[in-house]
Amino acid sequence: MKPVLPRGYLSWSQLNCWLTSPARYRKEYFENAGKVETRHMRYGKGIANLIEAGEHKKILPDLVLYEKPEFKIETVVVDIPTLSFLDTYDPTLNVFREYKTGKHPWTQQRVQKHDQLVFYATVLKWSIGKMPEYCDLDWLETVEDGATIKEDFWSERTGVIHVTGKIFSFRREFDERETERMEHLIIRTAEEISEAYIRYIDEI
Amino acid sequence: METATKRKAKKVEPVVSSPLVKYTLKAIIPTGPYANIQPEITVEAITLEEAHKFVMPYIDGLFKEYLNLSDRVKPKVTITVKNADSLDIRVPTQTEAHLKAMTAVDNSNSLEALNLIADRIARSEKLSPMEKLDLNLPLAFKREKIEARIKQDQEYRARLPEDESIVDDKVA
Repeated sequence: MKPVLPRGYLSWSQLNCWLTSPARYRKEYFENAGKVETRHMRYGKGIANLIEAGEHKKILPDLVLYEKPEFKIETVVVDIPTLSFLDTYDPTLNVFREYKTGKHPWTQQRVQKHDQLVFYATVLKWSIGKMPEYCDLDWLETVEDGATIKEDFWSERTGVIHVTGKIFSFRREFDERETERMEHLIIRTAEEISEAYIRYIDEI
Repeated sequence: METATKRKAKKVEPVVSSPLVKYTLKAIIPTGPYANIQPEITVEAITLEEAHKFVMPYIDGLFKEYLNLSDRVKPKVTITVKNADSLDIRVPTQTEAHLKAMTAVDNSNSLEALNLIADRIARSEKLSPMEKLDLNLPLAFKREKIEARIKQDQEYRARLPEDESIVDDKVA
């Protein structure tokens, strides 16, 4: 039986949410409780919007952009519909870049472990029939001016988040075995979500 | 001091009354289809007329309370006609199952999920027939919305140059 997904597809954020916390997934996708969003996440979204609109050049002059920003990929991996948006995609070389903001520095080791990149390589493989050889993760160094000052329990003044303009790029190469692992993970996760969803619906 | 010998016992005169009549009134009150209650009241009075007058208000009260009771406890349906093409049908009280079904319908975003929910609603034993009826409208609206989105996606893809994005037909 084909898995039944509440949204009708699986995305990286859904997969990651399920693997991190099935209870949170149930709240966000079955009960529509709203996504957890910190001010750092909101800042990241703001930067993504600036890049998409092409208004980033003042604050991020060295940012490398490919031909296709916010590139949408809707494809079926094995039997599971997926939806992805690549930050920027080069269709000629079949490579992409992923931009990250945040105070916590990215390292090569952290990039190698970051499965979002393998997820995107897998959906590219299934949509155009060819796995990308590599991708680049660009960490847009982010700082917070002035430490967070906690005056008392009820009020705290927070610092101002901004990018420094420095960009640290990490290349991540892909191996066929990694996309095969991701395919299994996508199928397993979709089946688990589907089972949980059917159980949830059965409570009606 | 009064002594026991001086005390005179009061003589109690026997009360002579007419003999009482025993009066029993039994009523059969239908409470619903193939259901009734049969209250029976027995009183003693001087005359039959007096007994009947005494009993009847109680019997009338029981009729008012129990006659066709099962019809009266059915949930009331409020139908508000807002305009010519929209009809708002509400069930006054919302059960947990009904609330859950509404949430599931609201959050589903694929036809497979909606079919699963619709099937479950039809089979549910927790939902009353009235609640199932109430859910038909949001189900139909949601189906229409998802089908419109799928159609819109297909039209968008048809207009898109080949290299704009990678969209596989199998997803829709």
